[in-house]
Amino acid sequence: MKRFSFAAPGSAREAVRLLAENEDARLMAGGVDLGHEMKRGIRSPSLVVHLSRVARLDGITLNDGRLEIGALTKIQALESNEVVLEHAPLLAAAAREVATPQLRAMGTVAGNILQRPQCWYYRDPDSFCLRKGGKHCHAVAGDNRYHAILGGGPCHIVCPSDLAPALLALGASAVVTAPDETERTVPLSELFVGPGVDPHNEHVLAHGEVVTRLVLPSSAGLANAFLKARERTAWDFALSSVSALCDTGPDGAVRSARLVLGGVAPNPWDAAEAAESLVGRPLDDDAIGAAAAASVRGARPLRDNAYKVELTQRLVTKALERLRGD
Amino acid sequence: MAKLVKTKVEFEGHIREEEVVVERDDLTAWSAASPMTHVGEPRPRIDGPARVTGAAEYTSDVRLPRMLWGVVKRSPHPHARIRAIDTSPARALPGVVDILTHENCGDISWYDESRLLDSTVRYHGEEVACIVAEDEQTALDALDLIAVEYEVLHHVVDIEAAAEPTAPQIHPGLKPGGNRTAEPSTYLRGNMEQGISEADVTVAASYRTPCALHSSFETHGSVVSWEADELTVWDSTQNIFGVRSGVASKLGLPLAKVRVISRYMGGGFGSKNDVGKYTILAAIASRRTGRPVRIMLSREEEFLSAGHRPPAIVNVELGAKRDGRLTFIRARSLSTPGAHGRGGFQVCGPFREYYQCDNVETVQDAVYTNTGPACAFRAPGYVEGTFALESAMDELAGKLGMDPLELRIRNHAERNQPRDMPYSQKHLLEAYEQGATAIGWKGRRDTASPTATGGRHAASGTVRGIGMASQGWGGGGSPPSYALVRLNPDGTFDVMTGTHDLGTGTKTVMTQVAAEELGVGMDRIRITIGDTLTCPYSLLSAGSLTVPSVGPTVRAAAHDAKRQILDIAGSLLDVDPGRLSVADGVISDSGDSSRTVSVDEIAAKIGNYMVIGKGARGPNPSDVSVNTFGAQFAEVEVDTSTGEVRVLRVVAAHELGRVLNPLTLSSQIEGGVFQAAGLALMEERVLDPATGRFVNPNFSEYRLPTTFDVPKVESLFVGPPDEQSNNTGAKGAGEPPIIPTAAAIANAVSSAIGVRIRELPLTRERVLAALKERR
Amino acid sequence: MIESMKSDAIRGPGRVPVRLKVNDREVELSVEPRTTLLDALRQELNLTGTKRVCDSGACGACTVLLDGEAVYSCMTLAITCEGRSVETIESLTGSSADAPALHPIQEAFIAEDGYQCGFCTPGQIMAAKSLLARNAAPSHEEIRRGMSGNLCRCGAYQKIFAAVGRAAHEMSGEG
Ligand SMILES: Cc1cc2nc3c(=O)[nH]c(=O)nc-3n(C[C@H](O)[C@H](O)[C@H](O)COP(=O)(O)OP(=O)(O)OC[C@H]3O[C@@H](n4cnc5c(N)ncnc54)[C@H](O)[C@@H]3O)c2cc1C
Ligand code: SF4
Ligand code: FES
Ligand code: FES
Repeated sequence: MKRFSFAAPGSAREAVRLLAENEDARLMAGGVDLGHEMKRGIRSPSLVVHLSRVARLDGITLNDGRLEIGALTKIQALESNEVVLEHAPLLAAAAREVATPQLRAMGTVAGNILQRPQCWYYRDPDSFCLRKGGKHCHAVAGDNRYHAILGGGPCHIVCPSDLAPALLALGASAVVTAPDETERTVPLSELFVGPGVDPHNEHVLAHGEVVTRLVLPSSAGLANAFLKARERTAWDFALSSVSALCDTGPDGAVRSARLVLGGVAPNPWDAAEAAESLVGRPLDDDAIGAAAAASVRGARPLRDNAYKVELTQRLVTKALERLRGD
Repeated sequence: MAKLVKTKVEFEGHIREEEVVVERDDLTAWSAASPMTHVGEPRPRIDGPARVTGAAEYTSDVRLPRMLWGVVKRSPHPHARIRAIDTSPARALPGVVDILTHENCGDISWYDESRLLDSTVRYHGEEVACIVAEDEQTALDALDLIAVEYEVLHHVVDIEAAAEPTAPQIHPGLKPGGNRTAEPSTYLRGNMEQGISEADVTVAASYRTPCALHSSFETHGSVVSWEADELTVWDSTQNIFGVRSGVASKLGLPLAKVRVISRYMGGGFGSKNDVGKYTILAAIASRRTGRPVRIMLSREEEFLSAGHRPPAIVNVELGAKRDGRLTFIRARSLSTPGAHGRGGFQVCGPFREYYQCDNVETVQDAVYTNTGPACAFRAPGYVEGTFALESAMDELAGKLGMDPLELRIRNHAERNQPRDMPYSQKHLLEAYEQGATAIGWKGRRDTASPTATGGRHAASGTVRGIGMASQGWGGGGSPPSYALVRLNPDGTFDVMTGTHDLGTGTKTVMTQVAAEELGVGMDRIRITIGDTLTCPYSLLSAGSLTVPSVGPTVRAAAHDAKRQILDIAGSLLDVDPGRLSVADGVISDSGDSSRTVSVDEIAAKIGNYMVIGKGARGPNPSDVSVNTFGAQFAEVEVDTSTGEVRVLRVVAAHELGRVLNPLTLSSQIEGGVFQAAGLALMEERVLDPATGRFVNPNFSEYRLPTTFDVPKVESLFVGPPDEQSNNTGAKGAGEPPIIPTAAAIANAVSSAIGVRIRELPLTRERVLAALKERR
Repeated sequence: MIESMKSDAIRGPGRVPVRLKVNDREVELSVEPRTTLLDALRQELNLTGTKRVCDSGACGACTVLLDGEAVYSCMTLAITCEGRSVETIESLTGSSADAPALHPIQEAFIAEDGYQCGFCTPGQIMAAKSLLARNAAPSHEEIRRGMSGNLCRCGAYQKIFAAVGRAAHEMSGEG
C-alpha cells in the first residue's frame, strides 16, 4: 500500500470539501473494498477521507412509509433490524448472503453498492486493462468464466454486490451531497452505468459526491426472494443472483413484479421485460418458464461463461417458484 | 546394536531397498491385548494452552534484536530473460539495507538446471531480487522501485500443449519434442493382450484433476541469524534436518555450523519438505549485513512459488469378466512438475496396487510447463490416481450392472502385487463392511431418487446419492530415526527427537508413548522436538512417516531408560531386574508386590548421575509389506436446478493399525476429508490462457471450504494393531484420509444425477452440463 | 481540542500518534495512516497472537474484537481505531504468568481438539467470543453461520463446532 494522508471530517460537508480540494482523494466508509484496492496497488490516493466521524450517517428509520438507511449503516444491521425485516425483507435476505459476519460488521451499505468490480484482471496490479485506463479488456482473450453474459462490452465486469440488485428491485434511491453542497436524489436505476457508456466507472457519481443515505418505499407484505448461486456456500461473490419481488392480487394474478440480476452484468441487471411478462397472469409454470427465458434474453456469453445463462434461468425459475410459495 | 542391514525404505509411493546401518529393535510390539494406560486414550494436546492463547511462537512470530525484514521481487512473466535490473532507486530509499540480485548473490545452483537467482525466469512468480530493510513496509516500498527489463520469451502452461513437439522449449538441452522431464516411467505385469482378450466388458475414459494449492495457514519462511560463523535458522518446515543439509550444502557450511529450529508450524501438508530460496536469500543477506533477517512469504507469493499438487490427466482402461473379475488395467498419466524439478509422483500407484489383476500396464509421463514448481501434497499422485481409478471402477460396475462395492470386493487384492509379497495385515474388507453399514449402503438406491422436489417445475428439486471409493497407501514408516530419554533428578523425563508437529499432535502422541513405556504420568514428561542442535536425527514429517517411525523410536528410547532404571532398582531392592515392572511411577517386584521403590526415589538417589535412554527405529520387516487401507463413503445432495453440490456426510473407515490417540487421529481424518472435499468441489488454480499468469493467487478466488461446505465426518478405525509394522503397531495416518474422498464424492454425485463427471472440481458449470446431458 | 485532533485535520502520510485501548490498556501508537490494525498489533505492540494469513479479508485468522465486534484487523486501518477498544487473543488469558487461567472458550478448544496447526485458532476463538456474546446458546446451524468468517485449512471445523457448543454450555453455567 502506498502512503497517504488521512482525514476523518466531522460532517458530510467537510468531507465533500476535502474531496473537492484534492483531485485524487478517496472516500472511505468501511474501507474493506477501498483498502483491498489500495493494498493491491490498484488505487493509490494521496488522501483518504474517512466517513466514520460524520454524524447521522448511519441508522435505519421509517418515515411516511419510506425507509431511510444511512449510508454508513453496517450490512450487519440490515440482517436483523426490525424495520428492515418488516418493510424490506428482500434487503435483509440479501444482506444475510453477503460475505461473512466480520465483513458484514465492517462493510457499509453505500460502500457495498459502490464497491469496485472483482474481475481478476482488474484486481491484478500487473494488468493494465481497459477499466484501469489501458487499451484492452484482458478478459476477452483470458479466462472469463466469471464475467458478464449481459450488457458487457467493451469491458465485461459483473456487479459484485448483493445489496445493489436488491435495492434496485426495491426501487431505492441514493441521496447524494454534491461538491457545491446541494443534495440530489439519484434513483438506483440511474446511478449505475454500463461500460458501453463509461468503461472506467460503474456509477454516475462525480468525484466529491457523497452518498448520505438510501431511501426506499416499504415493500411490506410483498412476496420476495433473494437467491444467490456461488461456487462455495459462504464467503463468495455471486455467479448469479436474483432479487425478485412480486405483488399478487386476490385473484392470484400478478399486479406488479421486479426481477433484478446480480453477478451476470456490469451493473445490477433489471430484467424488466421478464418481470413485465408476469403481470396480469397467475404465477403458473408457463408464466415462470417464460419469465425465466426472458430474463436472459439478449445474453451474449463469452467463451467460458455460457453456463451462467442456464444457471440464471434456473435461479429465476426457483425464485419465482418461491414467490408462489412452493 | 548398530549393524548393516537391508531394509525397504518407502516414501510417498516410492519403494527403495537400501543398505543402511540400522539398529536392531528387540522390543516386541505391544499386542492388541496389552493393557494400556496412556496409549489409545483421547488425550488433549499437551501444547494446547500455547496454541489457544496465542503464546505459541511460530516462525512468523520470531522477532530478534536488530532484525531486518526481507521481501522478494518476482517475475510477472511466465518465461523471460532478465536484460537489466536497476536497483539504485530502491537502494536510495531510506531504510533499505541491502538488495540481492542474480549479479551479486553468488553462483548457487538450484533445481539442477537453475540458480538461486537466475537470469532466466521460467514461471510467473519466480524469484528475481531480494530486498532487506529496517521494517517490512520499507522493504515493500522498495519492491516497486526496482526496475527490471525483461525479454519476454514464449511460454506454455498447459500440460497437453507442453507435450506437443512444437511447444516452446522450457529448458535448453531437453530432448526435442515436448518438454519431457524424463523418459516416461513404465510398469508392466502379466500379459496385456491376454487380459484384453479375456475381457467381457471394458471401460475407457480420461479423468482430470486440477492443480490444488496446499494453502498452509502459515506461509513458507525463515528467520536467520549468524553468530560468528554459526547460522541459526527458524524455519516453517516439516524437515529440519533436510533444511539443515540443504542450507549447509548451498552455502558450503559444515553441518555442525547450522542449526534449524521449527517448534510450532502452521501447517505444511507436504509443501515444507525442502530448503527454500527464501532461507538462503535471508542467510546471504544476513551475512552481508551482519544482522538477523526474516523473510516470510506473502499469501500471493505462497500461491505463486511455494508448491502445489500439479494437475493430472489420467487415461484409464479397465476390462473385466462378466462376474466382475478384472482381466486388465491400463493407465497412462500426464502431469507436470512445473518449470523445475522432476515430478515423479506416483499417479499410477493405485492402478498397480488396489485390485487383484494379473495384467497391468501403467505409464507415468511428465512435462515441464512454465508454472511454479510442484511439490508433494498429502498423498501426492495417489489422490489424482485414486480419483481416476475409483471413478472408472464405478463406471465399470455400471456397465456390468453390478453394485460398485461388490465389484471392489470381488477384486480384493490379498497380496501386494507390485512388490510380490504378502501384506503384514489387510482389513480392507472390514472397512468396506463397517463403512457400508454406517452410511446405509444397502438402501442407497432409494436415496438416489429425488427427495423433495422444489416445485412442479421440472427443473427444480434435489437428489441425493451415495458413493464410495477405496484407499491404499504405505504408511509403514522407516528408519532412520533416533530419540533420547533422560531422567532428571526430580523424577521428570526429557524426551528429545528431531521430529515435527505440523498440527498433527506429534508431541502429544509421542508423550503418550513415552509415558506408557516408562510407566509414569504424561505430566512427568517434557518433549523437545524440532531442533537440530538439541535433538537426535529424525525423518522428515511427511509421507505419513512420523507416527510409525518416531513412535517406535521413542518407545525404544524410553525402554532403554526404563531398563537402566530397573537395573538400579534391582540392585536397590536386591532382586533380578527382570522381575521388576513400573506402573504409575512405582517400580514393583512381580514376585513380591510389597517390594517397591518409586522412580522419583531412584532419580533422587542417583542425582546428577544420569540415566540416558537411547532409541532407534529398527528395520522394516523384509518379507511383508506394511500398508494402510481404507474406504470412504460419501452422501451428497445435488440441486438439479442450480447444479449445487453439497456433501452431507462422509464415513471414513481406515485401517491404520493401533490408534495412539483417537482424538487427534479423528482430527487427522476429518482434516484430510475436508481438504479433499475442497479439491472435489471448488479448489483450482487458474492460469490465464493468454499470458500464462496465475490469476487467482489469493483466498478470495482460490476457494477453500468454509464452515458451510464441510460434511459431517464419521471416522471408523478398522482392524487390530499391526504387530509386524513396528513396536507400537501404529501406522501413518497423515495421508490415507485424503486419498479416496474426492472419488467417493464424485461417485456419489454420479449416482445422484445419473451422469458421470470426469473432471474436478465439480463446479456449477460442470454439474449443469452433466444435468443437461441427462435430459 | 488540540490541533492534530481537529476532525478535518489532514494527518500523515508519515507516522502520526494514534491513541486507542488494546486489551484494556491505553496505548499510543505511532503509525502511518496506511498501517493496518493487524500490523500495528503484531509489529508495533508485539502482540503476535493475532495471525496474518491472507491479508485481504478472506480467511479470518486476524479476527479481533473492535468495540466488542469481530472484525478483520488486516482490513482495518489502525488510524480508524482512534479512541476505540481492541481485544486480541492475548486479552482472554488471566494475567498471572505462571498459571494463566484459560477462558472457557480456550478450554473448550483444547478439550474438543478444535485445532490442528493452531494458526487459525486465535481468530477462531475471537470469532467464537463474538458469536457467544450475541447468542449465548447457538444451534449447530447458528454456529456454522457464526463461524463462517473463519477458515481452517487443517480442517478442524467439526471439532471447532463442538468446541463452540461446549463453550456455550460451560459459559451458561450449566457446565
Ligand atoms: C473476501 C470478500 C468477500 C466478499 N463477498 C461479498 C459478497 O458475497 N457480496 C457482497 O455484496 N459483497 C462482498 N464483499 C464486498 C464487501 O461487502 C464490500 O467490500 C463492502 O461492503 C464494502 O463496504 P465498505 O463500507 O467497506 O466500502 P469502502 O471500501 O469503504 O468503499 C467502497 C467504495 O465505495 C465508495 N464509497 C463508500 N461510501 C461512500 C459514500 N457514502 N458515498 C460515495 N462513495 C462511497 C468508496 O470510495 C469506495 O470506492 C466481499 C469482500 C471481501 C473482501
Ligand atoms: S472485464 Fe473490465 S475490468 Fe476486467 S479486464 Fe476487462 S476491462 Fe478490465
Ligand atoms: S489475515 Fe485478515 S482475513 Fe485473512
Ligand atoms: S488449525 Fe491449522 S488452519 Fe486451522
